[in-house]
Amino acid sequence: MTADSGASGNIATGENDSNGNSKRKRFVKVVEVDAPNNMDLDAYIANYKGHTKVNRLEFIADRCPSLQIDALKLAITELRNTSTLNVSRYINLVKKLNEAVKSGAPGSNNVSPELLNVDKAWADSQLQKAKQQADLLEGELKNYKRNSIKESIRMGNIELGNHYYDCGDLASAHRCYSRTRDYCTTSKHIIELCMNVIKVSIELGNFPHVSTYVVKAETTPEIAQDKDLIKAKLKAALGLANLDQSKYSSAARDFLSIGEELVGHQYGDVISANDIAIYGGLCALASFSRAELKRLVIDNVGFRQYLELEPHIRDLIQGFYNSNYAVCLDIMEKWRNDYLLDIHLHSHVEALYTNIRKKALVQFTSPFLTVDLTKMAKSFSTTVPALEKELVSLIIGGQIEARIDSQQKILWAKQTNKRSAIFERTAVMGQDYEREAKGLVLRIQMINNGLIVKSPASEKGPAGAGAGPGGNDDYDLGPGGPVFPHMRHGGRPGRDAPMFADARSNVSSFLSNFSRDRHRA
Amino acid sequence: MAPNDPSFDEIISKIQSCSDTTAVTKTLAPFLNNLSEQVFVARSHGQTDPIDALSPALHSFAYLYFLVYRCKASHGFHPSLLEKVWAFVTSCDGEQVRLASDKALSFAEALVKMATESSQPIIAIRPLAVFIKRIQATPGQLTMIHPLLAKTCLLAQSFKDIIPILDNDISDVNPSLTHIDYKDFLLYHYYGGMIYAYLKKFERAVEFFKLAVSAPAEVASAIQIEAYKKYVLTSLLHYGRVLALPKYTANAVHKCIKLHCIQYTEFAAAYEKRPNSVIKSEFERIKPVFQRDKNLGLVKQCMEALHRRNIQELTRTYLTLSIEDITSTIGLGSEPDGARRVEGIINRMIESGAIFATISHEHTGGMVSFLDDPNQHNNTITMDMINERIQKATAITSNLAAMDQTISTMPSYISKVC
Repeated sequence: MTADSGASGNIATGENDSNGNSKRKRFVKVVEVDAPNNMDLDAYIANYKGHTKVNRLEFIADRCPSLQIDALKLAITELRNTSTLNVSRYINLVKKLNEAVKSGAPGSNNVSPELLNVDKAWADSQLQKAKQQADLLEGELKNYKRNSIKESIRMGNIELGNHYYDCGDLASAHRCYSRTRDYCTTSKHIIELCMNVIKVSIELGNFPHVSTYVVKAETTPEIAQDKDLIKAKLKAALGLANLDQSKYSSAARDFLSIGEELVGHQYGDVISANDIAIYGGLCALASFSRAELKRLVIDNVGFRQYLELEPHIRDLIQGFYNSNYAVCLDIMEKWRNDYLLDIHLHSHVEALYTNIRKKALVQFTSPFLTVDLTKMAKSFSTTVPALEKELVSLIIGGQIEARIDSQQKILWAKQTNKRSAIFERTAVMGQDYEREAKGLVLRIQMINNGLIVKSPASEKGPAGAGAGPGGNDDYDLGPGGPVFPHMRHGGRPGRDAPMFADARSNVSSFLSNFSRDRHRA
Repeated sequence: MAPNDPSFDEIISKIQSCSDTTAVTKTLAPFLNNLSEQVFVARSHGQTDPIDALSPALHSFAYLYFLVYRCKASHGFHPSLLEKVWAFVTSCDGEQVRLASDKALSFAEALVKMATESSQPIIAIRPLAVFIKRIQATPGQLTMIHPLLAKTCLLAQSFKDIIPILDNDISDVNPSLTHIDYKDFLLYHYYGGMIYAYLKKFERAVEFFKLAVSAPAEVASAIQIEAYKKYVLTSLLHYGRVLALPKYTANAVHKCIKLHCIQYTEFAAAYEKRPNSVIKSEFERIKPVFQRDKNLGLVKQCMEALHRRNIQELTRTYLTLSIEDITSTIGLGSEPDGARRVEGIINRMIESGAIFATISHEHTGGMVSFLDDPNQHNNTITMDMINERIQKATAITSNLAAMDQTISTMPSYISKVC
């Protein structure tokens, strides 16, 4: 998880990718070259605003050579248009664009020269502006602090946080936002605090933090205005956090319970309505049972609106529910590349796809007594040996109750004889009981008789050492290693008194616990 | 014969006059202890052997004294002495012998020494096995002879006589009667486990090692640590995984295991979960440790059992599978004789009832069909088995309840609780 979250957090700097991620990146690039995807970059990116827009564009540029130039162009234009204060980022992107053009990426012919050159005057003025603004805000904040007016300090911190956020200094922004915590007086303030922290944490990739603050916000009583919208945003953020931690079932539930509030990309600085459909749909398919799928996804009126935006996800879910697996797998394959270019989804695509495939296999076999493997392989568009391997892993994992006739290539549902199983279990249980009870009685006797392994010091007590045959050296037959009769010295002085309390509680707890433990096992 | 020693006739008459236990402990024991060794060893010229005047059944206590010193003094094998030993162990009075249990142990040790010297361990094993049965107060009682016998058997690799003793679980330990200490308990179970492992009765071996490891302890004993190592291996061999130790296993033992048996735990972890190749590399890595601990043989058997375990797993996933496929699945595909070996393994598994299957050679290479357990549990055997288990369980439960009752009414328990 750390590698993934680190990756999404590091997009802004784009340099310190961890090893695991660079590997994935290479893999993705290979895919991109020979397979064009369904993405319309302009339409896709129009759904976002703020930092995430540039982040996503840069993410795509890093991974997809065919879209690299376009994405970088859009990103730079976006930065110029919003007159960003994050100048280093601007310079960085221009550098990247230059490199891309030099290496002759597709579309490098129609890049206007003004985008290729760093607009030095503008950059300097922006830097100047950022510095002035920071100084001004810090001065004001100091002033407020001196006068110790709570509300002003809070506002000052938020403004300073906003400024750092605009400059791309996320760590400082996070610090400023967190500092307002002490000055929150109403529930509205707390919500504001939470939303700010969540926004920054998502961008930093610090998802455990996101979940904490979502919970904090959700437990805040009496949210006055925009109650539904805030709830929806919180759900979306929590969904992202769960997705990041590969808790697909929880993530699916979060995305599905967002309601209709975000259909118009109201949370565009984090997630678009299309994303909600995709993330929610895929997570649900990968983790829900058939009944849950019907109840929580297909019959979910709120979620249907999102699905309308991404019709292929709707078809995918319908196809899966109607056991039309060939269609499903086909859709999934077609859209794989798109998902690999998604800033949040990319590292989970493989896991989600494997889960969905496994569930499809299980669902396919469940109603039948026998299944012809050749036919099954056809509907999953794979070969029989490959399918056999998949099935074997599922059978070993206990997800399918069946056995394979590899001679005739038929899958037989397993007929378990419950009666026999019960008899076998009974026999084992009886033996266990006998053994455990005997062991316990013997143990109590040993304790009562002082047959306890002791260190030599305490052994010379009244237990009567020396009278017995022990203590002579010709007993070390088996242990070839060093004879170290006692590992640790300094045992407590010999306890002669029988440990009645111990013994008694042992016996009675054994009597009462045995059957219960066995039932559970 | 030393001048101040009484004459044989005096001794004999003294011995014959003491017939009940109080007389034996009060007067006879000090009297015999004061006599010098020569008295017991020597035989008077021209007269009958004093020992012949005693009956091994009636005067077991004194008879034992004579035998101890005679066995000690004897070098090598004397049929006449052995005859007396045999007469003694078959007819002696256990109660009297228990009064001199230290002498009984010296007798056993001397006998073993004698047997080893004449390299015929059987002359010690057979009498000792009988002797144990005579001196046990209850059938499940642990005596001081137990570990000695187990060790002798193990060294002689002769197990016929000790198996009935081993098969009878220890249920009674009473140091005041038998002068045993914890080492006897640990050693007996350690050696017993080794004997069972040697005979490939791994289930019992696991039981025995477990008893040794989980014995109450304030500090860990080396025997327990060694027993744990063997416990891990036999458990892997029989169950394919390491059974959890009982909850009451001493903390000190747990700590020591963590310190001294890391390699074993690592090997077990690999064996339980990882693919064959990983287990093999772990095996190669830890091999020197196994060799040092003299456990390599068991580990090698574990590696063999791996194939059996893999085949057993296949029965869960397949109905039919060609031998060729089995060979490659369990990782013997690269070996020249793999398929033949696999067929041999399967044959043996079918014989031993570990799997239910048939092999058909209609197709090239052979096809194995795995079947279900034909035992439907609808016969009298099952009923008898269940009944027997129920009876045993009820007996134990009533035993436990009685113990519970006894303890709860003990004054010291009540004073401690209230």
